[in-house]
Amino acid sequence: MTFDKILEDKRLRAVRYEGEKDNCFNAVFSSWYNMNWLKSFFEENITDLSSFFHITDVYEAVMETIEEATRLECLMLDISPSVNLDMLFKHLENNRFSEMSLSKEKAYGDGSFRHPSWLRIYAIKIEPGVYLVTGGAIKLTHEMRERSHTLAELAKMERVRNYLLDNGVFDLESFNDYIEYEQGN
Amino acid sequence: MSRAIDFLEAHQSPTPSHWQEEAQWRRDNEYWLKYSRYITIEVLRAMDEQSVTQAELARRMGCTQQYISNLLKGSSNMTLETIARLENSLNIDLIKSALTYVAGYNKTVSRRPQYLNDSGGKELNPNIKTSELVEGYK
Repeated sequence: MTFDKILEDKRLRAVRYEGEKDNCFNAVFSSWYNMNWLKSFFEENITDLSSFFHITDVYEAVMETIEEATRLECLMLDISPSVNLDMLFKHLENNRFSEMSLSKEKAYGDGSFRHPSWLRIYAIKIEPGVYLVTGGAIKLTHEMRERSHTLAELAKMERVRNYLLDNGVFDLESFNDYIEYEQGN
Repeated sequence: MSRAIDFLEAHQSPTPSHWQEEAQWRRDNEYWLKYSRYITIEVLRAMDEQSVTQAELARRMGCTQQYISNLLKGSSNMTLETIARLENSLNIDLIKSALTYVAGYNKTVSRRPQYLNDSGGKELNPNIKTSELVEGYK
């Protein structure tokens, strides 16, 4: 895998996986703007859409996704150097409050007036304010492991994290914190 | 620089990311992209209702399936000819209903697309009849 610079100041990068012509950040937004792809996605996940979000019209979901992706993309586009990306990304696990090296993080849209956001961008926190995007998804369930497409995103985060660890991209103190955290869970 | 950032820098992709340019393009062209999305959703809906596949639509329009596939992504700058061909192929009305929707008022249509409403969520003059709005463009 290689890494693409997303923001000019290099605080945000994205993984370009083997065999892919595009980095995952661009690929995620391309999917979120592709109406035909969105329609198929929501048709396949109509049960989750109606159960968790009470939306039964896939076309409504398609348009809401594009509106939200537009707002999220504009937010990303307008990030000024003075804005700390830590404000945008949150810990992946809602119950984790401590910092650790190469932690798994998520960013999401602002949602609509009808429901919270279902868009997610996943990243590894390289250091304070510096992130590496590993992918993104439309998350319609409570837990990522509940559906194969979000489970795949979890696996990608783990794979990228391990790749960085295997290449010595961590400091020992932070790594020990991570081991302690993993053992505690 | 930290070891991590050094590593990412050293393993940069051979070609740069195009996200920034593409995102900027989407923002700069949002004023017409919304019409393209509206048309696309009406086409997708009609295809669904009539069980028309992409291949069948391509056959009816006399174009390639690849062209239809790109069209259905929802970001094509369609010509009037393309829109008219879509209308004829699916026996639907796109332009007239688009104008109605863009005007932002049609109480008789339940699936009113808010995404085309430029009035910031406020309804336009409710005394104007849809037919009058459309008539004005004839």
